[in-house]
Amino acid sequence: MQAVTVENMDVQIGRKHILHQINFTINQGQFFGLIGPNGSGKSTLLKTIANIQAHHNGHILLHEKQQHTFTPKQLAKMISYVPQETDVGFDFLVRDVIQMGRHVYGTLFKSETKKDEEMIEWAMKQTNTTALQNESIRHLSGGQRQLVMIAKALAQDTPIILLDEPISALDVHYQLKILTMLQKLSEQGKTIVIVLHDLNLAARFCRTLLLLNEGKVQKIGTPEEVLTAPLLKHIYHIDARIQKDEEMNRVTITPYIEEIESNV
Amino acid sequence: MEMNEKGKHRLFEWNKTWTMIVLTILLFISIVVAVSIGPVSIPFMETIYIFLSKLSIPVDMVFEDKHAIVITDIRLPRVLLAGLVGCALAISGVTMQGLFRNPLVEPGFIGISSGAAFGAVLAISLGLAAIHQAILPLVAFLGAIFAMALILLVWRVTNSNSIALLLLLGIGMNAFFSSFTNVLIASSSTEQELRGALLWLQGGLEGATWEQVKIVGPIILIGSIIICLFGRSLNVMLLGDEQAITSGVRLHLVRNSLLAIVALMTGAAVAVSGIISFVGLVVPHMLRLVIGADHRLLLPASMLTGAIFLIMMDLISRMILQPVTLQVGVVSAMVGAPIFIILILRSVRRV
Repeated sequence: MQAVTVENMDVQIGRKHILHQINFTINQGQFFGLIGPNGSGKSTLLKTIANIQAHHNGHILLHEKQQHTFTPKQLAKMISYVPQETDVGFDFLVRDVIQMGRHVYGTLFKSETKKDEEMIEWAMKQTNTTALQNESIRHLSGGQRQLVMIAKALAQDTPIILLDEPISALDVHYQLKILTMLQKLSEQGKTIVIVLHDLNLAARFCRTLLLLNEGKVQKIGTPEEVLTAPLLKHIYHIDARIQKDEEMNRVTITPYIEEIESNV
Repeated sequence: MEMNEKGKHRLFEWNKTWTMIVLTILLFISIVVAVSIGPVSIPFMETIYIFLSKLSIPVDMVFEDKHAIVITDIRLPRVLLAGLVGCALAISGVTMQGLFRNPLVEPGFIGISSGAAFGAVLAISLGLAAIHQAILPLVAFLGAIFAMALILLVWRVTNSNSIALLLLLGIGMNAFFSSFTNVLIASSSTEQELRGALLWLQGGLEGATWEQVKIVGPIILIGSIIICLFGRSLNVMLLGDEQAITSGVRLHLVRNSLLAIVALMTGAAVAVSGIISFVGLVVPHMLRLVIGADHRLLLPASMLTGAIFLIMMDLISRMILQPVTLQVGVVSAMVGAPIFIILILRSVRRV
């Protein structure tokens, strides 16, 4: 099944065109990476799929249903979203924040159900935040806060998870741990759409990559198809040595900038 | 480990119930104390018996009818009104701070106080207030609603959802209304008008009547209860608009409803009491330190604590310089401002 379909979509913020004529589909259970230079529209694309940002023209389909026909609650049961950064100005406990992922399943008078509790415990276990649960969110490091926001999205238990650079503040151990965990979830049928800056990690974990440039889709395909030296030169203005590791069946990229490095 | 975590979680639920019970008892005590103390002091037990007999619960103690009249006709409406106004200001403070994701915001920021002040002073200087006692609060209420509607309308026209912009518009509009209020005060023709206007701006409850309690009471109580129902949504909204939307909160509906309820409640409160500042800042701050930021508890707790706070401030304002009575707004700022400064300093030191 197609989890996310975007057809001829434009996004305009104020008078600025951020995205032009975007077309792509993401199948259910895919680990789908969004890459591209700063300001290419990756975050906007995620926000538009999540209906945080309105789109002009074109269509977005979620599980083959038009996005605009979803009520806020239906949408929250379909998509969870992990932002780049979250600023919590108030003294919430970590567990309280993760519990907010269950908001959509609650009603005015019903307190936490057994299912809520199970999902929260599970989400904390997946992200190693169980030990932090009674700490104030304000006293955490940036990386720990990222883990908590990932846990909140997991607790929301949605078939589609959107993540905007969720590992940017994590150390290398947690980067691999979170990506591996997300990969497992995608194998279990969840659709993962993730913005990544690290091309090597993108190549290693994502089955499909979408390369955005100046608000347009430059290329969609497997890491091998997208991460080619000429394309990287064109988009990122870098030179790259691209090697295929046959044993681990993945490509690795060693980026460098010839002009700068030859002058040193 | 597993057991321990579950235990901790239960403890929180336990605390929630107990917090509410303790606050309810404190509210009752403060009402009894406040109606008993005055120029004629009445023993606390007698006050309780008078309450019981008024509720048609037979008691075997005799009390003086004179005391009963002092309590039910003079002091009780004033104390109840203080409680209602305190409740409205505190819960509105919590709500606004949640909506704006800023612990330093209070309802006055979106023009409610300055609009009400303008309305009240206008009613006084045009001589309307002298015609009937209901006119001043009514005009003040209309002023509050008008100022807020104007600010929200301009905010909507900008087509931006920026809360920071709303705040800035509020600051501008407040200054605008205050300037007109000052013009009216400066041009007041008699001493009496001037005094009336200034006293109203300081906030006071001396004219409290049962009618006011009956009109303002339902607005504030129903409004507060509705706001309490939004506790879960307000929690999620504190994580930002993006998180609120993707967590299934009907952001615009919730935000607009809450703003409207806050305007109605604080408009009603300000109309009967005049400008009382700092309740909406101090009470939420104190509570957050003790019980945390969870709005499911913070909102109902702030209702009760706000009521207790203002009843006590009103009691102090009546008693401190007897026979001169201070305005409750003055006392609440005198007590509230230092507490607020201490809380701010404490939080800075902790960070």
